Amino acid sequence: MKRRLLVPLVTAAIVFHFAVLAWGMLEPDNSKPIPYLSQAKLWYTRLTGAGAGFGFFSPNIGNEVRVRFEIKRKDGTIEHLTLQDLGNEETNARVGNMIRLIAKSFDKDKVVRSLAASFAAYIFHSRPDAESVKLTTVVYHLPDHRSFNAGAEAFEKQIYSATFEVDHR
Amino acid sequence: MIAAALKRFFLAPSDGTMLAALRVVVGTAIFVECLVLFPHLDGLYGQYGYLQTHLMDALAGATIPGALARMGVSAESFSTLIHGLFFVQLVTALGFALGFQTKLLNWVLLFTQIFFINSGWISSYGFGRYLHNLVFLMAFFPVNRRFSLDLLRRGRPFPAEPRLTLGKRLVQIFLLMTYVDAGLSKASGTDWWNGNAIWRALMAGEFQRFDMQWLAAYPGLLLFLCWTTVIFEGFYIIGYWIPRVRFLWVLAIIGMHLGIAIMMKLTLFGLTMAAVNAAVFLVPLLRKREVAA
Repeated sequence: MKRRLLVPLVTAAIVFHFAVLAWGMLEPDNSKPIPYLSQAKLWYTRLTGAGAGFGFFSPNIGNEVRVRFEIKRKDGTIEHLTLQDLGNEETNARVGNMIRLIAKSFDKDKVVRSLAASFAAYIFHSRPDAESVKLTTVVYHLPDHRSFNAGAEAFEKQIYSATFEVDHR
Repeated sequence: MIAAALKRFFLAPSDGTMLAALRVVVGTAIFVECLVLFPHLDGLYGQYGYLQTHLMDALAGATIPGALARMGVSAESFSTLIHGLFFVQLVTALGFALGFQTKLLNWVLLFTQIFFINSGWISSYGFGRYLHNLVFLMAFFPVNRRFSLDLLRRGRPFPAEPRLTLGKRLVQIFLLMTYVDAGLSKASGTDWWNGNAIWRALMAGEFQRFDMQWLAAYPGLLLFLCWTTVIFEGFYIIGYWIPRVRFLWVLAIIGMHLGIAIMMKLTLFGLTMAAVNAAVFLVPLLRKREVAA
């Protein structure tokens, strides 16, 4: 009896799991969430990994977003760094994801401001003697390879800047 | 006839070599990842890391640090917790790679993977996604039948079993599906058809390891690299099952990942995926030749 139930149950579980895998891979990024079903899928993804996409560097590779910090210290010295300067190759792959959030949320002022504040707070934490932290976000426009070969040059365009200061009150 | 073929495909007894090889690769990869990330845990997963908890919750949905913060767990306590769990993951990954108490360690590893993925959803990328999926799949099958301390302690070989083949096939199908997704996603854009994708990937500051400006003078090479990437990835699910080409196809995919590891600052990801493909697709082919001989 148990064995007779086991085979169909295992088969159903496998089919379900791979169906969720396929759903995650085929679902467009901007698809509308389906009430309850999308939430259930999200939780299943968080538990098993199934349901996420694997389309990296696709469909196209957008311009790179760079976040820079200018740190003014109490003694008057100025330090320039990026978030990537604080980590290693593996952490930087993850930091890149976070920075791309700024690019995705470019039209939402409050989100960009919150992200900037969060990054700046981390810089303050890593540099306790900092008086102010200026965050600048630029987009690095790399020409396509044909234009580059014809003489076009890469350039940066600033899209956001904010300064955060220590409140001595 | 089809039913018999499917039964043979999924359930013919095998010795578990592929699953064991995959276990070694995945365990080692997670161990190395833990070593590399350990000094930066607070930044990636802490309540006041690069992205503060309340912000992460707002952007990506409920997270474990957010839930614990609402329960009154302080940032310092959470930091102690994640460092402790990360150490558990480090030790577990090592034991898993060595094949010691494998079933237990597999489930502990799955628990720690779930914890960290849900502590920093935005702090993970494709590498974590692959590992999470593989650890989950492996938890349901014996992965200690070869290359393991469990085998040494047993003192005699494990018998061949149908479920080892089922596990092998499910992992293979999972991986092939991810490559189809990768290939189709790339094919839906223009960068991968006009050669710009490889150009941009190698010139992007965050991944750039070498000065590749000279590549712009070789558009044919860029086109070749882009098109072969899309074709080899997108059709891997077909190519692997064609006897005449499968071996070279797997080597091409492994070569692609080694290229990523060497040319881009994605060393751990590139090396791990090359090793995963070797374990999942190359080892069974070599094993088949060995058994046939």
